[in-house]
Order: sequence, then structure tokens, then C-alpha cells
Amino acid sequence: MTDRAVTGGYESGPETATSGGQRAEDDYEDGGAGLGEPEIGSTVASSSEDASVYGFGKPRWVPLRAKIVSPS
Amino acid sequence: MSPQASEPKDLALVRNLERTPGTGTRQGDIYSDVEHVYSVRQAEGYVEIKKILFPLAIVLSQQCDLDNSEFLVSVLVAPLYNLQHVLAGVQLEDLKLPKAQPISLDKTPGKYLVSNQRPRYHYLMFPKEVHVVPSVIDFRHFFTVSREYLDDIRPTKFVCQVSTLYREDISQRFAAFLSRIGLPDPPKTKAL
Repeated sequence: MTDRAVTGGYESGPETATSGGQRAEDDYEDGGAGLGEPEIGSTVASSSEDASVYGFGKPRWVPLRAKIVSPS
Repeated sequence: MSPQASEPKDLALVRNLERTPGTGTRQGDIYSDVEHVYSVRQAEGYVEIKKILFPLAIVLSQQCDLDNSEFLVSVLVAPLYNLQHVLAGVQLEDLKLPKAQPISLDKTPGKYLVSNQRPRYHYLMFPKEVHVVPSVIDFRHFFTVSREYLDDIRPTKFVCQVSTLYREDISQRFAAFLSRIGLPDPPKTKAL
């Protein structure tokens, strides 16, 4: 399995992150018998990336530049 | 159903995953390292292509459309983001985009997210044998790829297929999110 950690090699993106339409984050504190944190087991992401597990990486830019050659 | 009614791991854990790639693109297939061509520009004898490489993406196109033998222009897919990155608001930071609002699991927005009660998001947990981190689909983020492209990457990039019940749940929630109607805010009235 290849290393799926993705780093570097990106360019600036023209768009901003989409976070509109969400409710305010501070609306309610947990005051009762809530769910608590989900039990996400051994595949929980951490600062160290594990190449044997899918999904640790983040999307990244892959720029390409190629010269146009007219067919002779 | 209130978020207190059941554990999020029970709601989100995808059961009966198919781990063999099959012979064609299927609804609910998850692939790694999926490329999206963001822009193509031609200038001064060069062509510049900007692609986004998504670590994981799931096929959203309906199985009946994929089964149709007619030419299919494109296949609808959506990225899967690492839950921890979404909670921290950093899932797009490598695209040099501003950090999103963090989401706390101790507060209502986080609890609603992991119990799939926030229309914009779909939370997925995978059995340990599949080796995929807990992931989130953001229904605002979707793109298309050609069936030919998926056929090409399937031998090396296929991860698993979400089983029928769970993929239909994703499709239904995606359709509901896309068909939402934004109404204007009511006019502000002065308090009496």
C-alpha cells in the first residue's frame, strides 16, 4: 500500500473555504446525558500519519504545466 | 430522533462493506487518490492544469444510471474528509484555503454531525478491517469524473464499497441537501 500522506506541491487556491450556513458553534454546552465523544477506535487520526490507513491526508493541489507542440 | 437516542458509532458504522473491486464502477465505491481537474488554462504556448488530489472519494451516481449501457458523460463523486480534520476546521488547509470554523464534539453542532443530523454532512465509520479513518462527506463538495478514469484507477485505488442500505442513506441525504430551498430571512421587527 502506498503512502497516502499528502504534503507540499500546491499552489494558492482562488476560493475560500465554505463554512457558511452553519449554526454558531457555541450555541449549547452539553448539560445532560449527551453522547460524549464517539468511540472511533484505532483508526482515529492523529498528528502522525499512518501509511497503512486510508484517509489521513488532506486534499492538495497538483499543478501541471505542459508546452503545446503543434503536430507536424 | 434526538442525538441522545443512540450512540453515534452505531448510527455511522458502515456494515457489510464490499472489499472486492468488481468489474465496473458502482454506487458507493470508495477510491483513494482521486483527481479532480479544477482548471485548464492555455497561455503563451503552454497549457496549465490545476488538479486537486483527494485522498478519498465516494461514488454518488445512482447504480441504475451506472448500469445503463448508454454513454454516461460523468460519474458524480464526493470527497471524504478525515473527521478529525473537519472538527479542527483544517480539512482544506493544504489547498491554502482559510481554516474553517472548528466543531466541538462536546457541543451540539459536533454531536449533531456525528449523529448525521446536520444536513450538510454525512459521517461514516468503517470496520477496523477496512482501515479507513472516521470520515465525513461534505455535501457542498462534489465533482464529477469520467467512468473511464475510475475504470483506470480501480485496480490500484479501490478501497471498498459501501453496502446498499448505507449508500442509499447517503444518496437520500445528498438529494435532500441539494434540493433544500433557501428562504430569505424574515424582516426584522422592532421589539415592542
